[in-house]
Amino acid sequence: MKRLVTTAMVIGVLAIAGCSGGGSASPAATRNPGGVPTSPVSPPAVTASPTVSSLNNASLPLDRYTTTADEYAELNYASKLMTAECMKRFGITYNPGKRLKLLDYRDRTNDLGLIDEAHAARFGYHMDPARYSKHDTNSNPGLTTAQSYILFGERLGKSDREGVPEDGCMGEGYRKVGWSTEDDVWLQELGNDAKSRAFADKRAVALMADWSTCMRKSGYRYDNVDDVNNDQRWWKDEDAPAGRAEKNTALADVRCKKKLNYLGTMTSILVAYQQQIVEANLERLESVRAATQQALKNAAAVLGGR
Amino acid sequence: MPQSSLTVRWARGVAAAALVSGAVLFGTAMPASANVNFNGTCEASEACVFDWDYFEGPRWDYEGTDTNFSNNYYPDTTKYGAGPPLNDSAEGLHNFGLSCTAVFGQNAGGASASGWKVRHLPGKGDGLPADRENRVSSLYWEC
Repeated sequence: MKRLVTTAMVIGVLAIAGCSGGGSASPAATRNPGGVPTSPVSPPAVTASPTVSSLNNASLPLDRYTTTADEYAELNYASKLMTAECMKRFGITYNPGKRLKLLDYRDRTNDLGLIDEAHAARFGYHMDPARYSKHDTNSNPGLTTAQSYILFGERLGKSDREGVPEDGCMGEGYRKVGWSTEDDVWLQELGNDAKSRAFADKRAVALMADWSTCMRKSGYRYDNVDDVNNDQRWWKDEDAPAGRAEKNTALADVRCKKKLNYLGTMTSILVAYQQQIVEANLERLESVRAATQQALKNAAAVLGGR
Repeated sequence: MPQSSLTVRWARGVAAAALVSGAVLFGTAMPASANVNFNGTCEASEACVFDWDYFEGPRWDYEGTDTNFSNNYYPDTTKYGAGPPLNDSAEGLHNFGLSCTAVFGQNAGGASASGWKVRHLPGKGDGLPADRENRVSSLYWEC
């Protein structure tokens, strides 16, 4: 079964990424970041770069293992209901609030750099304010310090109440659903690691040089896509909407990327590194996937149609 | 927004004065949007960034969103003294929010999210992997 899964994934990657060639990763790309147990890698093969209209439509190797936004919201909401049950034992009413909307989680359009021309024209490099919240949504106003201890556990201090669970009632909520939040972070770090390796790959570095040349022809001097995003002129007052200079720069940036098939090339490289990471961690990944599927069943039972 | 514009103006005023006078050496904090209790202690409804290690050293306890940590400083507390700069000094993250996920990362606040990001659930957090230590530059809430 494992071999079948691996073969299927390799075929999928080859279909997207081509099947020969190979650049070399920079030293940074071969470093193993703490907490992400991947094997040392040689640069994966990438030649063909398909045209990718949006990263949302691309199938990435780690997608099989990461929870979708809907699954995440269900696991989270079920955990909160369990947290509320726990708090009730201590005589505290905890309002689980509503399901998370996770608008940012759902959309990875710009995950490899600004791609969306409409966004560039409207927001420049700033996030669409509709996609995030300025603050945590406090559905439990007036929580006292003592009650916070019970909710969060010893991370916030000592409680004089007996029987506070490890990591408080929130910790119990996640455990009751069987959702390993540590595994969730591990999966995110695998994705981060693949991305970091992809951007350090010499093919990405060459692409970035072409992008920089294109931008220069448009009148903008930046070495790479991070530099333009981090131009301090955009962030003097980050609450202020993007100005004309920022929007024009962002539009030139997006158009250069289109001209160079930036998204197609970067997606191919990312897919190849993700595939390499999947193969290096297949056993744990499959185990995490099975645990998540079980947690989803547990969550469905807790939610009972709610 | 629960913070008053007066508070925001105060924070910006303090920061501007600090920059001009060199008072940044004393660890003046300048989050993008002021919060009501920026006191170096993690509390419910805040996200915390740790300077030394996970739950070690100065804490940047913040209720709001800040997508560019440049010129931000850990609060100056008696316990840890003058707060060092936040944007090049962070090794751990924790979400003490009551409902939303806290998304920390590098460039994660901008649309050009070519850097890394990590989404922590309420009540959860972690130390940063070695190659991401001191590279945290943004925090926003996803609800």
